[in-house]
Amino acid sequence: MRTLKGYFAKALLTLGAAVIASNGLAATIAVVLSDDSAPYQEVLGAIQSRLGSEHNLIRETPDQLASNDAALAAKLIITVGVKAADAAIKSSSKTPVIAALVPRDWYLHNGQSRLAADQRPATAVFLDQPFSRQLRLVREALPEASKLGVALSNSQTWQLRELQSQAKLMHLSVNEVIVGSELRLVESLEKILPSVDLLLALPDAEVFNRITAQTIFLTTYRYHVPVMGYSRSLTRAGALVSIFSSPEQIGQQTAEIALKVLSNGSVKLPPAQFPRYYSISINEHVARSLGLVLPVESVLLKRMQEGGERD
Amino acid sequence: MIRHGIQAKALWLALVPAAVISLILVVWLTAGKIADLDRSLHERAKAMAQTLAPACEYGVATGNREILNRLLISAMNEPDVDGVAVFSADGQLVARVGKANWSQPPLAAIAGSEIDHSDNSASLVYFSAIQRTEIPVDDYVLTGDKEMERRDVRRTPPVGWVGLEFSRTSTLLGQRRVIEQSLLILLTGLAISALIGWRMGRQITRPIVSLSRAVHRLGEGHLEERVESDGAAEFGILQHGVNSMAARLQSMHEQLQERIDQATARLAYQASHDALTGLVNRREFELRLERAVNSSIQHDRIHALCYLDLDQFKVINDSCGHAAGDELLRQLALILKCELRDRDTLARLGGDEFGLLLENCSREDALVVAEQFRVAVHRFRFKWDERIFAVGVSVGLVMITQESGTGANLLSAADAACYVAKNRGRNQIHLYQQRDSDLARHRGEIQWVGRIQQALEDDRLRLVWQEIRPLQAGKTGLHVELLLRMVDEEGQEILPMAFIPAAERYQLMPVIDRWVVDRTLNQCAEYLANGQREDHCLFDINLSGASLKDEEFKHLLIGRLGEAPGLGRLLCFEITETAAIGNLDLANKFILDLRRLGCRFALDDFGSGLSSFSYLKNLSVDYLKIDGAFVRDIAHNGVDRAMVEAIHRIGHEVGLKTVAEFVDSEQALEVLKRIGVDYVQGNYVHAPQPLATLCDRH
Repeated sequence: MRTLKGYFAKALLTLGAAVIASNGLAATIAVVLSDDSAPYQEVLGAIQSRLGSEHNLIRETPDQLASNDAALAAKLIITVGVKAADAAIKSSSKTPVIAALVPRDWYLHNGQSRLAADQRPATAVFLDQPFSRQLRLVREALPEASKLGVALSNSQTWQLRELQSQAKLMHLSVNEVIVGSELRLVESLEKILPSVDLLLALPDAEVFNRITAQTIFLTTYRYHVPVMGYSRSLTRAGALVSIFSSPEQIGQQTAEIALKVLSNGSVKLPPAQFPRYYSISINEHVARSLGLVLPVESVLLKRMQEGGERD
Repeated sequence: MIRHGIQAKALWLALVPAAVISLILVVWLTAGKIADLDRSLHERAKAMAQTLAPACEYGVATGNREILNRLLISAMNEPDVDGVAVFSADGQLVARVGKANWSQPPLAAIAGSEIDHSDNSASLVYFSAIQRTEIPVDDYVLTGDKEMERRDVRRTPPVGWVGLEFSRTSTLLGQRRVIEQSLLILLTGLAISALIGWRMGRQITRPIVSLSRAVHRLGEGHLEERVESDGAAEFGILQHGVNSMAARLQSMHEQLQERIDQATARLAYQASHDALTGLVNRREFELRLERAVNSSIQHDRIHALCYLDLDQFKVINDSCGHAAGDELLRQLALILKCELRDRDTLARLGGDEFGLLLENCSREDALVVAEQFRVAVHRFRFKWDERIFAVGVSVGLVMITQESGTGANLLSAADAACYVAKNRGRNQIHLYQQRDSDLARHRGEIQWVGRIQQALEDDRLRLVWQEIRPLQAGKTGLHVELLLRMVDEEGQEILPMAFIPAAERYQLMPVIDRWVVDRTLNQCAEYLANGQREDHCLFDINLSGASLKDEEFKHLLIGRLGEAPGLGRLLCFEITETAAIGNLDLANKFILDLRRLGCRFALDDFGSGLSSFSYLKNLSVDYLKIDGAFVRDIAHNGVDRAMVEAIHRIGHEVGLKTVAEFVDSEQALEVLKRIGVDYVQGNYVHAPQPLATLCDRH
């Protein structure tokens, strides 16, 4: 409650600043968070720290966005998370939208078309890491591994071709299995685990979720197969190593896009993009359990960055 | 008894509260301990089920029975586990280990709860749900409908169930051990309490027991018994009290015993001495005599026994009264005591008879001593009411030797010797000799006593009648004397002069008199019943001096005559002058009492005794019977005739009818007629006839 009051006061201050700077370059930017949880607050914090001094930020909840004319009349709307992006879609305003922190799958198959429906300019910052980056981490972290396993639900099979082509470039092979139902999860995994060096976890909620995680990890341990994850949580849950972007890094990237857009004077949005900044986390316990020796996180990250980023 | 009573109470006092408290404590603690054991089993089972359930998650999720079996076997290694089983979400048995008999788990009942149990006396079964373990995989909560559902995964149904059956055997064993140990502690505690109670009880009872033992001993008469005074406080006071009470009792008892001893000595003296003279009495004398007899038998000693009978004592007693007789005896005893040697015994054997036992005394010495006694008595003069009497003593002496026989024999012999001395003229000493003729007669008299008693028992006494015939014309009616006869064992009649002296001497006369009076009264009643008039007949019967003095006899007689008033006028009692003057007052009273009933009296044998004419005035009699000794020779002896004339005249002068007895000749009858005697009696006039003939005659 107290926190809410604090934010409310902050919003008033920024509103005041926008009025003062209305004659210069200062613009009004609405920020919509899917919820108040810590990661979203961190994203907001990163955006504020980069935009707050020059522009007016209006904070709004997804539910109240449609009724906030000031927010809708802003120069730019930044949504954080799927729920916030949905709220922006439903608001029917023509204000350009930057949808940060959305799954690539959702954006490509759902969000993008809906955002564009009202001839609204929109772009996105994905949650997912590009396959090339993940595969490079495989190379850096486990140079011996050559065969990758991947388990996907039916809805995610569209990614397979891209993954396999990327893998081929990296001289890696991919063994995929389609998981029909949760009940057959272990059975499905057991089909590929004996023949792979690493299981690559993709953000597919039907395969990797809170419930299935333990079963998947126990099964992979039994087969002595390490898992590469996509979040810090997966590292904690039992993945050997994960590559991911922190809320701060997503916020930073989003703020940079917003600044670039506003500085151009005309609202021309860049295409949707993968996260530019990323982090690596290693579970040392898992590494010890599996008898693997990995470089420390900072060394690994440095090598990754030295290797070049083409995204 | 006391000991057990108090000790038992002390035991109860020590045991009951201890027993109650410890029982409650033991029950409470045991119940707590048993519940703890049970709870601990429950907790262990629950914990194990809860631990096992997540462990089985993977096995159930993957359907890998190998993993499950390994888990279940390791669970089976835990103590008390009887069986473990894993069920799928729909209740199908997936794996089981152990002997437990699994049925379908009560899924309906336990749905919604993660753990449930069923309980019975032998086992405990826990079911725990196998839930999916949730692990966050995303750093962001991705919003959207699908994710919202996932958020509440706790509501997802369990993937299966773990069943654990625990055996209660070891718990029950443990509980039983707890109960046994508790009981052991309880019993040990009670035993210690009992021991303490018993010891305390003994401390209390020991002084009580010693007190009660002392009181018991005192009660039995051991007055010297004392309690050891070792107790303090109340017991000390009690012990002291009992001791002083015992001391008082003992001193009182000793005083009393002293008095009893004195009284006993006095009684012993009285029992062995004569109250009047202070001499040894007959009983004691006989004892000493027996001792003397024994000493003569055993040690061949010679002793002497004297039997002394005073002469003329009866006269003094009768004429001056018993007080005079007693005084005479007292004075004589004093004089005779002076003549005694140290070892001699003088005893009063009764009346005027004395016994003298001279121990270790030869015949010659005995005669000298006896003579000294005789002379001493002879010299003695008794003074009473200005009258002076001289008395003598007749002494029978018998020597006690080895052959002299028993004490009774010796006394009898001495008595007999004394009798001889009296018969020989009195105031002399007779030494007993075997075959003494005088003794023979005396022995005869003794024999008569037995014969009289036997005759009374066998009803061998008879009455005969003899007419007392009037000499003067004009007399009518019948006047008879009833005479006593005894029929001996051979049927011969025995005259009274043969046995009456013996009867008189040995106090048989009252019995004989009662018999005679009884028969006479019956006869009179019969006589009257035959229609005779009472003034037509008069029956004379003899009464002894002893009966005359016997008040009981008099009352009996008056009673009989009172029942039949007519009988008194038919009776005339003949009493002798000697009997009458023996106790004149009593005799006169007897006569007066019976005269009122119509009886008459005759003075019998007048002239044979003292024949003091003065008595004729004092005795209220109707007839004077002149002694037969004067009548028998009256026809030839002038003196006898003069005597009869004198008695007759004096009799008539005092208004008495005279009767002459022993008339046995015509000459005598003629003389008597001339003198004018009123009645005659004798064999010449009428010889006695059996009583039966008297009734026949009329």
